[in-house]
Amino acid sequence: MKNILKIENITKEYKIASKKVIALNNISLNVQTGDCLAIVGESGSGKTTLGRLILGLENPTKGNIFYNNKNISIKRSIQDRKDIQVVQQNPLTSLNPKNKISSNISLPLKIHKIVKMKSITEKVIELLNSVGLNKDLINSFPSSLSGGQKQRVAIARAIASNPKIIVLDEPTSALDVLVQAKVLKLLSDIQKKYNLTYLFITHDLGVVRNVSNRVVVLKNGEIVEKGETVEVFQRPKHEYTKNLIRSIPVVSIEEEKIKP
Amino acid sequence: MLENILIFWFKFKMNPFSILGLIIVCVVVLITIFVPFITPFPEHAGKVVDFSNMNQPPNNINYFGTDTLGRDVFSRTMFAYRTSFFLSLVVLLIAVPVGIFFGLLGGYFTGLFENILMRIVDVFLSLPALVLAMVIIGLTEHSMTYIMAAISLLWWPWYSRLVYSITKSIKNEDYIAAAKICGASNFHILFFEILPNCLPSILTKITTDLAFVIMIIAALGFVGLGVQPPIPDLGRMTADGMDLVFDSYWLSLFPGLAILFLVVGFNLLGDGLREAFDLDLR
Amino acid sequence: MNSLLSIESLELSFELYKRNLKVLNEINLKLFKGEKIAVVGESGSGKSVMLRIILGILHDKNALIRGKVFFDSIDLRIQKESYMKNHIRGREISMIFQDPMASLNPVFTIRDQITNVIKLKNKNLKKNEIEDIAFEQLKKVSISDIGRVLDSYPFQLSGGMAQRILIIMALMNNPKIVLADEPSTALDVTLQKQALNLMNELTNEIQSAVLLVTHNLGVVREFAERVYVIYRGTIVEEGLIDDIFNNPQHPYTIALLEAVPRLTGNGLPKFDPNPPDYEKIKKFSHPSLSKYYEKYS
Repeated sequence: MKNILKIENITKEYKIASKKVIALNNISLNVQTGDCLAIVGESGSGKTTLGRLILGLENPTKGNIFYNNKNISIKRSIQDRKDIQVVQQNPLTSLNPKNKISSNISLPLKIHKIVKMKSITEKVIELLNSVGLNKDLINSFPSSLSGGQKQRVAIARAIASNPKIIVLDEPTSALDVLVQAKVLKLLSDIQKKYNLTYLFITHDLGVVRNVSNRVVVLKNGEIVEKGETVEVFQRPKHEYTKNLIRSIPVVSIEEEKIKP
Repeated sequence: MLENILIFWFKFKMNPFSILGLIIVCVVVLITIFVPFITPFPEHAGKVVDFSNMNQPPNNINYFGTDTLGRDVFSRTMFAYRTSFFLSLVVLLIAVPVGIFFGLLGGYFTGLFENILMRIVDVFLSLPALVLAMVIIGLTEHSMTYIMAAISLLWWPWYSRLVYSITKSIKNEDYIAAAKICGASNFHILFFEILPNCLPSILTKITTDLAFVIMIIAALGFVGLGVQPPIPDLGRMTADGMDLVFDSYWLSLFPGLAILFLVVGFNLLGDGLREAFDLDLR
Repeated sequence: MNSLLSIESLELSFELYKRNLKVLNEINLKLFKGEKIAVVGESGSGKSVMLRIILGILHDKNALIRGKVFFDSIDLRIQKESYMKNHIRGREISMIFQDPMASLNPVFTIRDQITNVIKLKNKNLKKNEIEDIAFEQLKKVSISDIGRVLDSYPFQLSGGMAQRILIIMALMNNPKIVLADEPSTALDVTLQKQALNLMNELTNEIQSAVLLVTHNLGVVREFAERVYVIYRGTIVEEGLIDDIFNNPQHPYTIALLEAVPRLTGNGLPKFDPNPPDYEKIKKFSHPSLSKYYEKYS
């Protein structure tokens, strides 16, 4: 199993109103091909910042990010962009409200020339079908879709460029529990079908327990615990992790019993 | 797509004043297109005099009366609509694209570029348009070209500021980040992701601006810096009639009312558009 | 039955473009003194808008409301606005909203906003009396530097702190009922636990009844005694906590519970790809309720 993504001693600092804020402090972690790595933390933990750095929306202050052993911390090529895509949290803002669904999905198709111009519509329909949506939505605008449907469109857009890694930034946090169940199943199917590596950023430990194989726990910009998901949940080492698990309101007695 | 237009229309017609504005604007537009056919004396918009008929009050032949040169005021007023409309359209056709271009760039690229650009915009915004237009025209010629050039020069910064603020507010939105992550170029993001989101505000502003520019042109005409006679101009006509307002009220009243009619119509339409764009029907 | 709050056949619909949207369908709900109940449903179920109707703060020209909302045998739906403003809101019935940052006025200090609430009950207090009351109340949330917090503006506080202050403000005047609209959803899970514990403590102290509206089943289980499950404006199941979580009867309740990802690691949450029309399946009221209600007769 090789390391598709290597994050080495990453530090990210911001200057806010002449004060230095350290969002990430010397973070290192490896992601293996086929992983679903959960990045867990509360607000202010730095998980969103880490996602942004991996996606190349910002550059780290110190440290390096390697994708397939190529350093992408400062510059990344169009090919690198093609391989690392995103599904964002808020379905209300992740699609351009003024563009049709087909335009939103076909953007990566056009940029990376995935198919010829004349086959774009066909490919968009294929992508819509693979996320369980009807081709009738092609000419609709995001405002006429439900939250769950919008997330599916976002997923279709993410897989359009045939990526290798998808960063999922709280992809189901804004969805109702029944819709979340369907979207999580879709994400799982897609990961298997296209051989993807997932970085699943979330604060929902219930989701983490069931979708990820490895987990990293962040607190105030630092890693406090990392390891195999089953291990971290059954035998958490750090007090913060234990506290997080204890604080979850669960729906069954069995779950109460396994809390630390 | 059709569904969205119908929903917009539903929201728009919720306010009866918006409908009124729309009707007025439609009437004005129809007038400007069909003016030679609907006026009884189209030639009076040109170099014609008829002293036998001068200073007639409104009657069955001359609905708005005649002026000191015997020309039909009604026909001239309708033609003057054409002049004003044409001038303001050209002004906006120049000012809007230029303004959008600089607004997008200034809002998206931060740093020195943004600062310099926006300070230039600030300079133009702080100058009173009417006064400066008067100065420019006074120093040059009273031709249509110079009037349009002067007003365009003063008008584009308003669109820059509008587009600048919208660009700044949406450039950190998720879908813009998603476009960057897809690998979209800055050009694509500016013109195909950000600009479409500015269009509702721009369209609304164009509608109310049409009226505003027409008022400025009328004001210029009023002080004698507008288009030269015999081209009919609402402001000029109003001014010329001011001396005789107690005897021949129709000379100032009707061109003045024509300005009012047009400005109210565009403002109501613009307000209606803005409300309909803002309204969230849930 | 002497219920403190009784909603009878409440209906709500909106006149929209081309259609009439029915949001609440003959809602019947009771709340007794000191009770903690939850109304759980997904978004669009109408649960939040129901709270606004109780307080009479649903301002929508297109809204059509029918039915009665009895508070201590007075139908709130037919009361004048002045009655609602001076007697009910913030005094007999108070509300805690979802987003603490959106509920506090950004241009006034915490002191100003707490003062407003204190004055609702007694307009004639002097400044130092008000300050004493504010201090006393904030002590309950173990805030270390109360003076600094009172001087602060909302944006200077963390989300958790702001929510605790909101909870205090809602309970300060000893309301008979507290309506809570997703009070912890915007908070991190550790802060959520704190906020709910605080609500529990304070409402127990003053014997105030709580109507909690949420989509989070875990929160319901930890906080409430009795539950209404709502689907698209219709109540589909009603029961005590144990019944609902250990023996759910309505297919929708069962579906909701199955869809919650479990800490025990049972795998991806299950769902029915072809669910039945939940609204058409009859409402289920657990039989143990009749014995429970006898307590309040």
